[in-house]
Amino acid sequence: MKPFISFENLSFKYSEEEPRWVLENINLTIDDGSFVAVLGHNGSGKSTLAKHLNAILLPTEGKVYVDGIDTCDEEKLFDLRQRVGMVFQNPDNQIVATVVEEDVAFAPENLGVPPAEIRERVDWALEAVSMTEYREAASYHLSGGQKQRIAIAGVLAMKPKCIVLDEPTAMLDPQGRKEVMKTIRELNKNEGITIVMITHYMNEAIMADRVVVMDEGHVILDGDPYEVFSHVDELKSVGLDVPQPTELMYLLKGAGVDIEKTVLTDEECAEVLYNLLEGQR
Amino acid sequence: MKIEIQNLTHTYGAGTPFVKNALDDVSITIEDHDFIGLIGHTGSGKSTLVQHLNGILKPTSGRILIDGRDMWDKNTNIREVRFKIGLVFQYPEHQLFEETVYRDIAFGPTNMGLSEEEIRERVLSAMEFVGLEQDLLDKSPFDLSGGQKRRVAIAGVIAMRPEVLVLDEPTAGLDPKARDDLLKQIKKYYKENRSTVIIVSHSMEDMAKTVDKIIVVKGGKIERFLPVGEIFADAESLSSMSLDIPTITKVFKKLKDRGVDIETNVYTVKYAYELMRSRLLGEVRQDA
Ligand SMILES: Nc1ncnc2c1ncn2[C@@H]1O[C@H](COP(=O)(O)OP(=O)(O)OP(=O)(O)O)[C@@H](O)[C@H]1O
Ligand SMILES: Nc1ncnc2c1ncn2[C@@H]1O[C@H](COP(=O)(O)OP(=O)(O)OP(=O)(O)O)[C@@H](O)[C@H]1O
Ligand SMILES: [Mg+2]
Ligand SMILES: [Mg+2]
Repeated sequence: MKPFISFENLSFKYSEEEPRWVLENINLTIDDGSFVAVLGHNGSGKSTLAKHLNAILLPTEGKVYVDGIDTCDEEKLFDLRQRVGMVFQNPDNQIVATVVEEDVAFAPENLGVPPAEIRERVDWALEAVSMTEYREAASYHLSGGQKQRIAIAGVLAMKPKCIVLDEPTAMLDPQGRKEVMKTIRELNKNEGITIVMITHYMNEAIMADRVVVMDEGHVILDGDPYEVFSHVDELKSVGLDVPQPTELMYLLKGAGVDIEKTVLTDEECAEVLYNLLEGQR
Repeated sequence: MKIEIQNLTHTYGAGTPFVKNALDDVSITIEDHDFIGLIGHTGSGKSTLVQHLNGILKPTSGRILIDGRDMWDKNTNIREVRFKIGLVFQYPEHQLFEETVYRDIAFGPTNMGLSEEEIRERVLSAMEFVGLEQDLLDKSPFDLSGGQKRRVAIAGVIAMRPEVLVLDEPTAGLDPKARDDLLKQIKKYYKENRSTVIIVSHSMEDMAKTVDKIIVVKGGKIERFLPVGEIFADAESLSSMSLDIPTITKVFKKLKDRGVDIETNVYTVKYAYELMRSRLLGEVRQDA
């Protein structure tokens, strides 16, 4: 696999006067077609890192390359933004048109997608986030979760090579959260779209192929979900957590129950507990 | 404080093509010192409902009584009501507007006419409440991370020390530790001040370990108002309303489905741990 994104010695601060780096000497490559979850406590630098991917922010030091494009290359800005679609942390800031379907059509229109195809993409994207019935509604007058769904639909309709999602499910109901995660996974698996997803929900992070953990502008853990979530103490010490099933197993192990492997899902947890209980009989 | 909502209907966009009954003839009574969770699908009417509790929105029809007095009666001072019933908005950005974090949190107490000294004390203790570092005091609230903004918005309401605390998705955007710490602080506030608390949330896990009773809203109507245990005992109807049960509960339902004789009313990891520890280690010891 070739790297699609590479951060090379990236350091960043918002202003010269600031004493500390917000990002400090980050070296990270993300493969084409991979699905990466980024975790970290509030203020650890996740959104700042994400905004480097489509040149909303430029490195103070170091370089960021996306699909071979140097994000500092102003002449390539359009090409860059065509490749990277971004769902921002606050969907409110993202609404650009007064009617829902126009809002969703905005990015593909800008990319010069033919009208018939735009229609198709908008219909599909609205369906994917269960907002078809709101297609003609006023985008500014929606509930919090509805706005978030529209923001996600907007980026889906763009069909970029890479989608960056900054806490995309923070305001969604449990059903909506499942649907969005499913859609993201399908885009990744079926269409090879590279996904970078920031989240505070550990049971969403386990759906990624790779989990990157940030702390104070540094990457402190990086691996597949089983690897990363086996570091329970370390994760807790940086303000994070593990999925509930993982936590239960960790506690039981601490109490002396013989458990070896890390579990992440309710199924895996039930399986291990079942075998333990059976073993007793 | 007792809050009685009587036949509350709220219509958005009356007279436009997008007219929408966001609340439809809702009646419910929240008793003094209740600790309530409010859940419901996207667009069900949760934010609309809570914005009525401190008079941000006015009923299209129906009444809201605060300790027996109609909130919109001309003899009621709505400003006073807003000091007593504090609302944290779903989007912190809708609440932040001052130049510095300090001034933002001080906004409510300043309006209440408190002394400089008292204001300062309240701002600092509110920052501690939400786990905000003091070095952010002079920063612009707009130059903060998402989770930091959320904390400032919550601190601004806490600094008013309201009798009724209403929070619209307060843990969205908080990291797991901040989420846990905040819920613990709210619980402490609830106990120490004998206050009333209403939390809107999409996290079933947070609800299970925090509140006593849950209101379920669906399509602008109240579907359920029951103790936590009874709400989560009915997984099927929750899922039919786009909701869910905590992940840990699913583990025990799966065990039960596989024929294990085990209880399924397990809603927190803490309880699950105690249960399994005694099943696994307690029995092992007896056998030995
Ligand atoms: N526009 C800005 N100007 C100055 N400082 C900023 C700005 N935006 C963020 N910061 C600071 O940079 C640091 C990293 O912020 P960032 O938004 O990247 O964090 P995050 O990991 O996304 O946090 P959260 O989980 O709360 O969204 C924080 O300390 C924050 O206060
Ligand atoms: N200002 C407005 N104008 C018109 N309709 C609105 C307005 N605000 C909300 N609505 C509509 O009213 C309904 C209820 O919205 P509300 O914000 O109360 O939902 P909610 O339960 O808080 O949802 P969420 O979980 O997404 O925050 C939704 O269908 C929404 O589209
Ligand atoms: Mg962020
Ligand atoms: Mg809402």
